[in-house]
Amino acid sequence: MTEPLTHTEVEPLLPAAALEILEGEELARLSAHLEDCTDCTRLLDVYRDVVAGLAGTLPEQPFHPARSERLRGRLVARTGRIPIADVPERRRRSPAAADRWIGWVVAAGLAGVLMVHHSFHRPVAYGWLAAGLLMLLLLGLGVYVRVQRTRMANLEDRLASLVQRTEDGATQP
Amino acid sequence: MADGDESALAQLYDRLSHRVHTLAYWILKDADDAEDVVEETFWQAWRNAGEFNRNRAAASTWILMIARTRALDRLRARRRRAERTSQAGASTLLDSLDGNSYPAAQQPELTEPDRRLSEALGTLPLEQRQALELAFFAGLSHGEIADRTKQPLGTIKTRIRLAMEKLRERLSARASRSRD
Repeated sequence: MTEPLTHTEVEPLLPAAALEILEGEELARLSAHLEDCTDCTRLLDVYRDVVAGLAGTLPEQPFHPARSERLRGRLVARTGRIPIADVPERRRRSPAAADRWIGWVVAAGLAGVLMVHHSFHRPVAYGWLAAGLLMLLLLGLGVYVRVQRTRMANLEDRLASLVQRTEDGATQP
Repeated sequence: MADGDESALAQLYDRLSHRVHTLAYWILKDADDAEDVVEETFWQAWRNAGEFNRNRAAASTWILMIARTRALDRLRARRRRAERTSQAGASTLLDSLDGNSYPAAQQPELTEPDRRLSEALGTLPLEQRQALELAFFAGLSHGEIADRTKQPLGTIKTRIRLAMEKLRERLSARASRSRD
């Protein structure tokens, strides 16, 4: 087993660690040291500030406002909480609301199973059997609708993304 | 954002997307790839918001570190593809690395820390700056930089360390710490 690194050995490694260019054993030993050393972790954070600060000194690269805005919209949409104003009417039911129905659907399914089970006595209770089968049918229908809605939402997102990229390609010089 | 507040993501995006885009662009030199990195960065930030510790780093540092990692991942993948394809690909890679130098900053509106850092960069000896650029923009390891610059490994490690220490000293008094 390799010897743990001392503070004196760790300190020269921290700049490279912040730049994320350490490899192999050096990286492993440094990581092991950092797990227990708040001082070195703090110093690593300072070097990370330097690395991030270097980004702040770069000449700004223009980010087309329309592209940036579309990307922002895509990100917010991906969070699963699309702003109501931006969502087509048919997709306005939130995932949380949809999920609330799952509990009722499962309850209906279980009730259906019980009804079908209850109907198998002699003589067969056709009323209970029909009700149970109907419940199971509704359960299957609910699951099917849920799956299709999810697929449709994913397809719409992909389509929107493709359309935006096509538009971007067309408008870019 | 850790509580699932998407408006926090939107605010963070408004505040930092330009810096993320700029950083990704200067690493990848490709506007489309840079845009992808912007999306990946903020999406990763959203998903891993619980890991962010405001006591350890500013949000901007956290986001920019994610962005740099994502951009370098793409750059390394591009490099591997070039190496796989042909010797010509490798030549192209070396040519492209020549472009991984720090662009001359002509930004009158730099913040105070950024301005201090920019000035500190200008005072670095050329060889230190070159080693730092290859690490920062290309994500090359010490060994790879040594191979590329045909310098001893120890020399490269020292150059990068000295450059970073100098920048750290200039950036903030926060760098000082006491140790027994």
